[in-house]
Amino acid sequence: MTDSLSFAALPAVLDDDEVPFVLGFAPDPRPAVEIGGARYRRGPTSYQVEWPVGELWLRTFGGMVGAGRAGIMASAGPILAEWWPLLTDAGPDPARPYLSAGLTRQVVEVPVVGEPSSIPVRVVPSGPDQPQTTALANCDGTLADEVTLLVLHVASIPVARVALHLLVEYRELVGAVPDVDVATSGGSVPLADLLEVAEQLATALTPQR
Amino acid sequence: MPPTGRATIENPLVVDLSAHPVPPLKPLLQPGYRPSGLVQRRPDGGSVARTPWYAELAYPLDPATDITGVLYVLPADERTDLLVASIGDGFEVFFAYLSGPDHGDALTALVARHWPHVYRMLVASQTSDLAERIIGQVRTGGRTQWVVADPLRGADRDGVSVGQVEDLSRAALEVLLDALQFHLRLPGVLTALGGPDRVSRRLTALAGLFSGAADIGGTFQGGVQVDELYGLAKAAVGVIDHLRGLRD
Repeated sequence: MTDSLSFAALPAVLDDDEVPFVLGFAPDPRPAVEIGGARYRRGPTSYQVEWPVGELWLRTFGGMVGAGRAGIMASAGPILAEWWPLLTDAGPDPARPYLSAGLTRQVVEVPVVGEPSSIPVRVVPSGPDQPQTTALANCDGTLADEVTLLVLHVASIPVARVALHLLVEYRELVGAVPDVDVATSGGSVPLADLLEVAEQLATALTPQR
Repeated sequence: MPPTGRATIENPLVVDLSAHPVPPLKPLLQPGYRPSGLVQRRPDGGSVARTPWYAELAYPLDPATDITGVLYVLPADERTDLLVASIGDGFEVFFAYLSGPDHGDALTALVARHWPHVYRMLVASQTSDLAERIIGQVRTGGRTQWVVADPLRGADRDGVSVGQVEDLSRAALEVLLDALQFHLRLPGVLTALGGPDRVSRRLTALAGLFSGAADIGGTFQGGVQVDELYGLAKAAVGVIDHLRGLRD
């Protein structure tokens, strides 16, 4: 474990095109360093932040998202990809606030556990270049800047929560969950079980006010 | 006389959606209906729910019992949609007999003679050029469900009338109840299966079915309304498990 957060000092064991699913069902065996309760590892220009939650893992990933802007993201996977055109046609719906945020491009203010503040998180729908639907928080700075990484460290759980809520809204949307298995780092799990876990975690991580 | 053996019905149409994460079709009669997809309510109390793969049509059958009829419109090919009523796996055992090597030819001939409407739907399902009502299959995820379906072409693809929905629903329930009771209702079936004197384990199991199936009622009569058929179909569901036992 270390107290400093330096991108250069993280174990360089990732590929930059690796997009982890927000829920991990098995530990990642690759080298990592633990910082502030999370496990960090990096690629050439990106990094991952992994939070242990019981026997599960919340996985997020960070990198530069524009000129002078760094971001932290969580992936809800490709399950929503075929739904976005229909959702776009239907327009926003208060019953689906997180999916609607993806349509309107408005941020969702996500409270930080134990803090009076909140983190603005965007929902980025899947597209031709990116099959995953992601939640994104970003700020001014670069990955070489420790303060930027600390801000994104704090934001990593809120973006993971938004990705989990996207899965919860997906479950409501489909009504009957498709009878398919989903490949995970630990093998595969039925989609219905994965969505159940996502809902439980989303609820558990939501601050009670 | 044209051939009526099992070769005439053994390859029904399969609409295979299993390559996508498609919500499974709901059987025709739904207590406590929960829609799949983006819902638009209709003035008559029904709804249309859209998914990327099909539209789910719901209409209230009997508000007193919270029973909803659920059908689907899904594409079969570039110029044909299907209006579909799922009968779940209620047709599976009957079809296994019809298409099986032991009794298939004899049973299929009986179906052609005594249940020509069922035979026609099976034969119509052997071609990709769909022109009339069929009995086929829809695969979603790891499930295969039997359906009764009407092809929709041209202007028919723009909308489905209540009459079409009711007619297909009733036909599907008739097929379901016929299939579940084939050992009782299909004339000559016991002889085709080997006769009552040849009491095989399979026939013993079939005999056990007869008392269970009797709860369904003597058979349903022509002219029965869709909502009245629900009670019959519900009673029939338990019989499926007994029928599955025949395969053991």
